[in-house]
Amino acid sequence: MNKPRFLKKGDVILVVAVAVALLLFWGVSRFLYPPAENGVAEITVNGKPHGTYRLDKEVSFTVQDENGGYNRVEIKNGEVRIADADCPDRLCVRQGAISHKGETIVCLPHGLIITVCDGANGDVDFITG
Amino acid sequence: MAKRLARFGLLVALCFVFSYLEFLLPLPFGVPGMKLGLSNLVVLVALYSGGPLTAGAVSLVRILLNGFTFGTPLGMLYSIAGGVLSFLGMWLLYKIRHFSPVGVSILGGILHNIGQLSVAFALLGVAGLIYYAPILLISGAVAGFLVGLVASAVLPRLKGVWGRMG
Repeated sequence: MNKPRFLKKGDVILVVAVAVALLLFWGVSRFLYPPAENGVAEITVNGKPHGTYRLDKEVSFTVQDENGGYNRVEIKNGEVRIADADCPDRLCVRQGAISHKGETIVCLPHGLIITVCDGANGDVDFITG
Repeated sequence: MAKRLARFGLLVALCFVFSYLEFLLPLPFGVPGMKLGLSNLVVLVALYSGGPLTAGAVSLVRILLNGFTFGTPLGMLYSIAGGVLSFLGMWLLYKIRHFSPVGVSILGGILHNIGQLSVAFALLGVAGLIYYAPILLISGAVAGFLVGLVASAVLPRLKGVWGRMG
């Protein structure tokens, strides 16, 4: 066997298993998140509903949390994203735009969660909680 | 016995220093919980050179020391969950013997982050936390791989040093 001595068969199996698990995870999440019908973005802050916004109307607004932090939410081209935020890691911005049912954007520092859901019907602009 | 104890002290001290180093210089990726896990290098070395008991003790003492010195009780809870799960996984692979330190370390890194994610999930109950899971699993595997490589390089050399020490 012409392998480096620090890699054994088990290591290779382990790495392959981890890769397969991640691919499965990704595949299942694709499968679980079909495109939403009349999609809306539901926003909660620290578990409390903040509002529901239709994805087919372009809008941009700022959500403040209790400690003065903000997330600027932008809805455009049927997708919702966080365009800007002052949380330390800005992971919420990096999570990009979402439009599929069940997809979420989370900003842990501000307790903000955006979830894409099916809209009940087409004649509501937004519902604030 | 005295030799064992001296080694144990050395390992704990090294582990402690590595933890402090990582506390001072966090990785600049901005993901909470993303670390190289340098202290795991010491646990790994302890596992291969001193056995599971030494490794488990080093890991536990490091977590307690670190938690009381720099950490918060909450942080300690995260460390314990990560540390215990990671140690048990590494011990298992070590026992199975079909794995090199690299494989053992990869699983250790992944399990460490799974342990911490579980605590976060239990405490915060945010379903969206799942978003962090893939990033932390991959980073755990990569960090584990790197640490494992270093361990495979260190272990054969250490054998000589420790032989002379005794």
